[in-house]
Amino acid sequence: MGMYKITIFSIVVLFFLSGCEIGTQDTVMDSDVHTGTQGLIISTISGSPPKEILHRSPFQIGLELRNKGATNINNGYVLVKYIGKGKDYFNILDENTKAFSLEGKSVLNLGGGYDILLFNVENTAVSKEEEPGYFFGIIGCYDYKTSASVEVCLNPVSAETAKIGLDVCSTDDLVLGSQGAPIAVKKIKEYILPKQESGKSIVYFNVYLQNVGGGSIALLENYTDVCRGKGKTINLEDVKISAKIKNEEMSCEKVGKDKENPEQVIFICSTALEILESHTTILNIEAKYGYITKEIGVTMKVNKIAGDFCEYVCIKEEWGVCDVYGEGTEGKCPDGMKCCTESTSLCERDHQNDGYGCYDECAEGTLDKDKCPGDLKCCKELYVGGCEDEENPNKGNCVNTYGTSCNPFGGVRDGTCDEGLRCCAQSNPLCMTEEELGDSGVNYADEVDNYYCVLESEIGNNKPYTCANTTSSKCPGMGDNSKICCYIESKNN
Amino acid sequence: MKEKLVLIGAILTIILFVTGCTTGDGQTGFGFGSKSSDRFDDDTPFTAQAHQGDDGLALQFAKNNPPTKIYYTSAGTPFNVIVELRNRGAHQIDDAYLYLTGYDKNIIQDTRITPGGSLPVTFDLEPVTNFNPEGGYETVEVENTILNWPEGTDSYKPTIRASVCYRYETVANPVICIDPHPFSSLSEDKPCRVRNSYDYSGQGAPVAITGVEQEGTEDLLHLKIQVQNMQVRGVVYDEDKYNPDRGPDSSSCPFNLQYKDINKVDYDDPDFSGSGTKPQLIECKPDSPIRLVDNKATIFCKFSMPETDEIYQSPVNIRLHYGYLNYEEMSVDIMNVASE
Repeated sequence: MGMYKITIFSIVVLFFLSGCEIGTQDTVMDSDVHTGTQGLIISTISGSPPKEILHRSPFQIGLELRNKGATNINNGYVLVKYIGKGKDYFNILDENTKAFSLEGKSVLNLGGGYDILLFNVENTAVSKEEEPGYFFGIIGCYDYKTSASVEVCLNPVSAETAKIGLDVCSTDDLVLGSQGAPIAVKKIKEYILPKQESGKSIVYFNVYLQNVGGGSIALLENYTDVCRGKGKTINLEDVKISAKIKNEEMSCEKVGKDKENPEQVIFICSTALEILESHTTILNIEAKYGYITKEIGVTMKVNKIAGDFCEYVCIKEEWGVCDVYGEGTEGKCPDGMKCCTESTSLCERDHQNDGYGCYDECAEGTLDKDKCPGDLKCCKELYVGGCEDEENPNKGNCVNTYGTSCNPFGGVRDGTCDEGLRCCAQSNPLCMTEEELGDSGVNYADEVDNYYCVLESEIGNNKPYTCANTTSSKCPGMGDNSKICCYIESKNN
Repeated sequence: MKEKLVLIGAILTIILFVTGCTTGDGQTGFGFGSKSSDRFDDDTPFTAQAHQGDDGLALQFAKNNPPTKIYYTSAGTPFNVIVELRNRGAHQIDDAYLYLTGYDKNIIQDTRITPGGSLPVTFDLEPVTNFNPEGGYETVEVENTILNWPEGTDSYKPTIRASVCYRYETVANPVICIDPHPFSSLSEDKPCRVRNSYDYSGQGAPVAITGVEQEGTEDLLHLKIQVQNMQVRGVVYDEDKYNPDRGPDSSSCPFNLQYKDINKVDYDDPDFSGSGTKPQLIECKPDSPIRLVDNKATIFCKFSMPETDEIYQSPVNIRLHYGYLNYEEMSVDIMNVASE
């Protein structure tokens, strides 16, 4: 029996010893920080927010931010918004958007940057009905970069008789892992054309890009607008990439989605290189973009306290005495607030799903009076972007009205134009009849027997134009530039 | 009995685990198992003898030069590449030249090359002789720096290749039986008999004459000479493609050898030694240069028998000349630990 114990003990000891390794270890420092498919990771701090709170009590939403990618985040934002029923049930006491910056992974900090953001929130009311929970959405928006460094093979290719295979490497397709960013280069295919007359070979790389982070992509210029719900995300094929090999910038263009794997988008990068001998070198591919994390949902319950608290909505008293928020009702509210039966304004209740809301500035012709609290107006929001932007819901044309309003041009539209121009409904004055204007929107060259805007001073005897009839208010211009809509009977030389 | 079985089982298990225990460089701790490289053994070509073996020039990277792992800390991080060269064969090497390739010379730049100062490095090496049984020896040292590290790159793992091109010769003197009456009675006591009697034991060259078959009539002597490239990784090529003065852009060894250039061996007309009556060469086919197929070729030569009734042995001098390329490769792992 003793023999058995000794034998088993020896075997166990040797089992552990066989894992030993003497001599030098394989690596002293792990310098590979370009791994992983995430950039910013947001998680809630345990208990913040709490799963349940009491009616009207303040609480915090605590967020842990980690930069698990290889790029520093210099201008990141976290947006917290209440997305549940009843717009005014919760009041985020700070700004609902907070800025942050986090360094990425590095040799000296393999875990990446870490930070905590706290949002102070107050519950102001609860729903009359029993709700299973109230929901908050949290997203992160940040600027990021994908940087892929790939070892590629350059073998001289000659149009002459094939050379013997003494190359040190081969130009097989390269399948890549992650690069420490939410957009990754997944695959690279290489093609080398034989030497041209210049002595250089044209080298092509097909670069396959994929969104592996689970979030959305935005342009670097407007990811903060997207964060606030005012801009649009873009597709992967709209990301701009750049590539460099042997200190030469390559020319890169998008090709489109990979038919075999539609999640990947193909870009082609090329340059001319002098390849004298077979060797490996580094291909650097870079993409810069804004990234929006997938929304995190947080749910919490609000427990009502029996008593004389306002069971509906506490609205700021300065907005009126519940006039647009339903009838006033009994119930205690914090100082400066009134207990009203409705949590949404009359404007929102009367205009559901048609783009109306309470705004400071309105799109032309959309005002619906007396349905918003305080100085806010019930209307469609004035678009502050470009007059001719595709995203402009009230898109128009930038025209020179020669000092008049847009009335001769079909009315005003929302949006900004360059100095001296106004945003109007159409680019040509109303003087043209509908049939003549047609789809071209261009004045006909032949004015005779047509309506045309002419200077008042050019009509009449001994003047360039004789009009069969004239109409005002359909042509632009004021003062000496004032034009009249004239049905041209004849042109007088 | 049971205890004995358990003891035997325990001993076998111990042996099994112990053989799994390795040192950091892949060597087994107790001398069992395969070694990571045969190139550091004394039994490799670096101990060959004259006119024996299949080696011409042998080369290897010196230990730790380059090291297998290099840490790039800043622009100018240095490392050395040292190539050891030895002529293990029987022929003098003149104006051999060495190139280092396989890596991006924008990233890794040489700062000093000894000897010569620049690539390719040309050198001469004595053959193995009685006075130099190890053969001529040379080292080429290339001091490099890592300069233009590509931004955002964590590591670069080039394979450094040292290629040496040189001209070489193979000389063999198989002994042939000259018998004017090869079909006479077998019972006759002759000094020698016509047969395939050449025993190959290497000629101290990478391209060898591996066999000589002999057939004779009363008028003619036929020789069938077998030629073979003995090195799997060595490349024999048309010696016209050897040119140390041309760079990577030229059509010469090692960069631009084409299929039509390789496996070509020139030969001189075989000649029987001696000044007296001897077989005279009529013709040899195929003409020089011959082309090796699957590393082998055969030369057929026809001689006229001398006008004599004497039966005797005589060596026939066979000489091959060709260009040869040897190369060695080594992977280097350069890791970026520079602070940004």
